[in-house]
Amino acid sequence: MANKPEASVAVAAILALLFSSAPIRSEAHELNEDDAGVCPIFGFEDSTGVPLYRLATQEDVDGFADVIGDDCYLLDGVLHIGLLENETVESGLSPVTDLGPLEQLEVIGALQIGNVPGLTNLDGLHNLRGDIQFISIKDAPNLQNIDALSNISAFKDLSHGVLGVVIERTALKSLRPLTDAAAYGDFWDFIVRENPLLADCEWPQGGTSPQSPIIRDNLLGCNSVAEIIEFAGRDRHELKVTALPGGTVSLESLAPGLIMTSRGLETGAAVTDPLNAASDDELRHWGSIPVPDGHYLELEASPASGYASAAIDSDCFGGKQYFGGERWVISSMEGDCFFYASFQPDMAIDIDSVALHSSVCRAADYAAERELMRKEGGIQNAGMAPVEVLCPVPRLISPNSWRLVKALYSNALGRLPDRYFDSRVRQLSSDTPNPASLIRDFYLSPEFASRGLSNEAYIQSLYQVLLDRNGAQQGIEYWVNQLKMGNPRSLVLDNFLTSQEFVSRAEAFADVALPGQTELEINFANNHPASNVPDSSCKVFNNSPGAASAGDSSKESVYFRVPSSALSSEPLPIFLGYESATALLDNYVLTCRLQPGVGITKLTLLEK
Amino acid sequence: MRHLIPVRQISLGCALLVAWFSQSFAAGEVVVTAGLECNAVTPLHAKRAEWREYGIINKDTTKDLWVSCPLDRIDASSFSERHFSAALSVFNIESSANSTAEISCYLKEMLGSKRVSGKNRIAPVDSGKQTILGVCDLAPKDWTSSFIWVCRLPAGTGISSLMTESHLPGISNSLLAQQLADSGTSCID
Repeated sequence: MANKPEASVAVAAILALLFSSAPIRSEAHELNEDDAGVCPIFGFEDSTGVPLYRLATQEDVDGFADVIGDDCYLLDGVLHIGLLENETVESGLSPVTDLGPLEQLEVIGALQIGNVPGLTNLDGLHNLRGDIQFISIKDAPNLQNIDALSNISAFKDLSHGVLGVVIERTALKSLRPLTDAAAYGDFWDFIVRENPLLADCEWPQGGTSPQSPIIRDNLLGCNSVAEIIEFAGRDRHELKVTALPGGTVSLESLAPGLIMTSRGLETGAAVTDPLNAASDDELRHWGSIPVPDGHYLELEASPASGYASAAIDSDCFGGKQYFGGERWVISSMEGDCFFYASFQPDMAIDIDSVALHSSVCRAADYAAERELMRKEGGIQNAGMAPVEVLCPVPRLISPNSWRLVKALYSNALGRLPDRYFDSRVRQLSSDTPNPASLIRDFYLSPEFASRGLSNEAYIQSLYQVLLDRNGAQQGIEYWVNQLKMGNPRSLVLDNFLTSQEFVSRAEAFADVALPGQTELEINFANNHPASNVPDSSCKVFNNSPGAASAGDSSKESVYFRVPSSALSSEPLPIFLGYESATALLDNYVLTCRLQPGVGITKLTLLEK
Repeated sequence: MRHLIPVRQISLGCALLVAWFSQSFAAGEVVVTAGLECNAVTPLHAKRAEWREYGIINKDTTKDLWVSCPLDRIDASSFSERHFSAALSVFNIESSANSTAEISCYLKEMLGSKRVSGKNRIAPVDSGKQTILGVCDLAPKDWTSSFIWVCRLPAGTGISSLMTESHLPGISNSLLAQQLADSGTSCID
């Protein structure tokens, strides 16, 4: 960034005035002003007497080297960047947007950044290293990363006032790299509040733990323990909550109003998760909730419309267990554990299905293809980094007449079609179709009689072939009882054929219908699961070859995570019931960002 | 008694029926899949290709990409003669330097490694647009033969979907031909 000489001169004059009037207090810190590289001191904090360097505007930042000298790199005091509360930028000056001119700094005592709406990163502070006492970043709503602080190794008491970390009202998604630093002290602050995108809220992992961490109102993964301060002194455990597609998990006692979906946390109306550009860290911590030792938890898994049941898999109850219920209580968190809910679509029989071995999947380009391994167990990410794989999901499209005749052969007779198949399809598509006659031919044939189906199997077959659905239990029992009372099977068949439901269906035998229900089952596995691996994630796209615009040909319809904690060598099925094709020739593509070791074994598409 | 228990709900799919008016229509099964099933013809060409959710695309800025796309040929009944119809949708991405790109495709019938028949199709595709190429009602030379599309994709163009159908002889028995006609594409020579 180009310096602005005219502003720098003004800043230099102000700082020079401060310098001339301020006493030098070298006893307040460990370094001596005469040490090589130590920056001169211009002023002090009123409350602590610690040296203070204030850079309120971009012009202050740009003129920093001119004032301070371009050969100093040790700033033994507090570097304050940005405006004070209720302070405004003076006319002719600019708010801070670029810290590039500060790259000469290597060691500072403390860093305070506040009221800097134009700041998106801390580039320029990337040469900071070693120990620091305090980092405070507040009201930086566009600050997206603090990667420049990656060489800060520890928080220590350097006699610069408060010790610890404060992060408030930023756009940070992660506190890394501060998480990788250490903190030393009997009492240090960790205050992380009102960061709407923050999903990773771990404090510096080395050294001692903060005495009274405050982590609240962050909306994503760090919001759930609103009053964790109440549990000071207790250990913190991680609860990883995952909801697979088809339902939600609510966390009532821990965080009322928060709901976990397959896309991430939902706070009532809006999905707050920035899913499209999710980083590994985000994926790792989605649904990850810090819970104090001994805390009581209540979770409820709720299937969405079109899904029938919820299966819970968790190791929160002592050992890995599977459950078929919907509401669970964890009476006491004694360690880290996971809880995930999967949902089974409430789908009747499948007429058309396409099953694919996952070796049809491929990488996005030639180079990435080398990271994939294809074995009999399916395609797997054999590399060390995540790989995006894409899988075509073909659809079979046929007229209703075709589907009925095929069902008559396969279901009623239990065999493949014969030479009469085409003529029977033609009969249903003619000017005078007589489906009832065709169906009677099958069900009253000697071949059908020779199969010796039980009464219950006979009734179920009528439901499946004639009505294209499974029969409800009370319906099946009713018709079985009719047969037990001595009514002939042909009479029951005629009742089905004259029912309003069948008559309505028969009117459409000559048509080609869009599917009413679509379900995609995908099986994932990991032969060498490791702990603390981020989740994989997948999307399903709907492709429309008939779209006139290239940009409209592919639309995302489903997004979901694949929880690493649930993966093993045994395939984990994930069922997607999603919006069906809206045009006859639509087809689907599954794309997955697979973590190392994770593979897809097979895909099955069911449409009816 | 006219109601079975429980009464079937009329699904949205049924409300969106696509009418078909042909007399004595006996269409086969159409298979439609994504263009990412296409392969570059050589490793050198593969370096120009990218496979995305919207299909295969030539990401090179100057050179053509040649691809081959294997097709599904599903004959539900071997008791009647079956004809074969195939189509593919091709596109030209909006950022392409070519305002209009000419995409050439050849539908080849292969018997072992020998080509026994073929048809070619050429389509100019405007920037940002997608269009369909098709060959319909082809009489296969052999019941065991297979079909592929081989296409030349200029820079910035790609293939999004592949469609095939085995059906009774005659264009009127092809559901795919009807669908293409509805979208303004003729697949008949």
